[in-house]
Amino acid sequence: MAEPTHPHAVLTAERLTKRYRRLTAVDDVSFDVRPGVVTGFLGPNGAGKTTMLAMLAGLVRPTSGRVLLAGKPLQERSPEARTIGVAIDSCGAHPGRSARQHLRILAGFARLPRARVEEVLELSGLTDVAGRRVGTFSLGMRQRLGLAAALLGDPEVLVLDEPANGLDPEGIRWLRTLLRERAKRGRAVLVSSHLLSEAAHTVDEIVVVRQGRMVHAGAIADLTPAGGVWVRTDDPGRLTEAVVRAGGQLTPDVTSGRHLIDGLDAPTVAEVARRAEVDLHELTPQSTSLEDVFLELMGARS
Amino acid sequence: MTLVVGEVRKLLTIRTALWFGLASVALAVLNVVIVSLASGTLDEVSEKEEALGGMPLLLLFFGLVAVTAEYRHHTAAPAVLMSGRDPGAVVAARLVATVVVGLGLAVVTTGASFALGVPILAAHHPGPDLTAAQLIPLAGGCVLAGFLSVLVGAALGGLVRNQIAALVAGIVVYFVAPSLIGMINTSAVDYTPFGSVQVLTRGVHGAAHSVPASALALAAWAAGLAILAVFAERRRDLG
Repeated sequence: MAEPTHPHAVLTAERLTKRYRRLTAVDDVSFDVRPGVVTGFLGPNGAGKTTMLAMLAGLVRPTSGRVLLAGKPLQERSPEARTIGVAIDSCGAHPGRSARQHLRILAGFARLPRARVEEVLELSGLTDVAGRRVGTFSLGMRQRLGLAAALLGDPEVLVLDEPANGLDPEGIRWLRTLLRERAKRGRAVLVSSHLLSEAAHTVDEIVVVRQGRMVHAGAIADLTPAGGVWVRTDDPGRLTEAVVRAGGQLTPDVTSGRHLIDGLDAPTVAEVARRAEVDLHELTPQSTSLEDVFLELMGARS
Repeated sequence: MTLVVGEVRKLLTIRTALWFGLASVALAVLNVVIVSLASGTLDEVSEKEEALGGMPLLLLFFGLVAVTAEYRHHTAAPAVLMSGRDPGAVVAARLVATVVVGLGLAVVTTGASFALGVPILAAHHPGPDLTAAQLIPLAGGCVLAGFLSVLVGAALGGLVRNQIAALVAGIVVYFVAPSLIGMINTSAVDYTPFGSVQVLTRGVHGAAHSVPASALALAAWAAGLAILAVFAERRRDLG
């Protein structure tokens, strides 16, 4: 569970709120980003994810609440390349500049050696196109360039806004590997997405927001759908008794003629039926996807 | 210093300065050729000076475009994030970098105008030739007007952020405001940015104020707008 102000949190959102006149983009959101953990920041489009990330990066001032970077308020410790690497909408590259020029300029601001530019170009797979103008880049290449810029200072925490957008399958695999490896090295990662199924491959913990408010925070494992088990039998009465005795619950589905058993997994249901000497003609685990769970959290599932 | 160097690098790795420099030189040369060859007889020193001077309009626009491009292309935030400095300091460095590059453009523009205009004036017009004692202050005035116009443009760009709105603001500050002020007090026009530039480039005769007073007035406008831009940046979001 991502409890706010964790003692080892590298980045903390403390009751952050951002209002633009009458619009409340972020409303009283608190969570932690910890070393060695990839935290997913999830929500539908327009949920306030980018505004939240911009506040965490110090680019947007919160209306109320505060951001702690390594335990210190942002006002006391300005974000810089070695502490926080940011790739969000508001961090672009001039289309007339080459990727290498862009990164060299940023490295200069952070007083990083030029060799680091070549390292991140290599890491992001952009070495071959480093001399090309950014204006000629595809969306995927721009995403890689944004990540390369965020990685320049080898920061303690990475803050990435929808980094998988525009990446091809190979790029997505590269991104997942990169983020997991950083977490393995004890670095913190905060990555936003509007697709839980995509984020599920990478993140350890999630924070879900809807209309600017946090609706869920916890380990991704806690969100794994329990699901039920569909069965078909000629003797529902005996099966019901056996299932209830085993702690489950059986609900008939009149349209399909099947029964849905909740509270027991498929092997247990099979064992219960065998002991009760009930023949099963079908035994199918219910397929509830993470996306269904996500939509349920969003209140969008009918 | 790191910030200024970085911002200068930014300007020199895109074509904005190059295109504005070329356009500014072309416009200055066109101006001096047209005025020298098509304006009848220029037999007085003040007329010859006026032919050589020119409105540094493109340099004002260079400052505007160079700074607003940072917001247009979302390149303003990375400098803040990478350097760990507050946005006001980054904008201050950006303004310094823009005027450093702008100074180069002003020198090249003035140099081109004089290199072509002085021989044409000497060859085609009667009356006394312009002496070094007249040319040097005039060149200094033109460079200063260009340099400070870049700062006015850059500061307006930093204040307004939106490129189109900033261009409109630049036109209003340089051309519309002086007309409105002139309706109230004619001599006050010489204290506006436009009026000061006119005095510095000898585009106006019989101005109420001296060249140093106009230089001071334009410098005050530029510095005031620059300070406003820096303070505004410190209070605004970059996201």
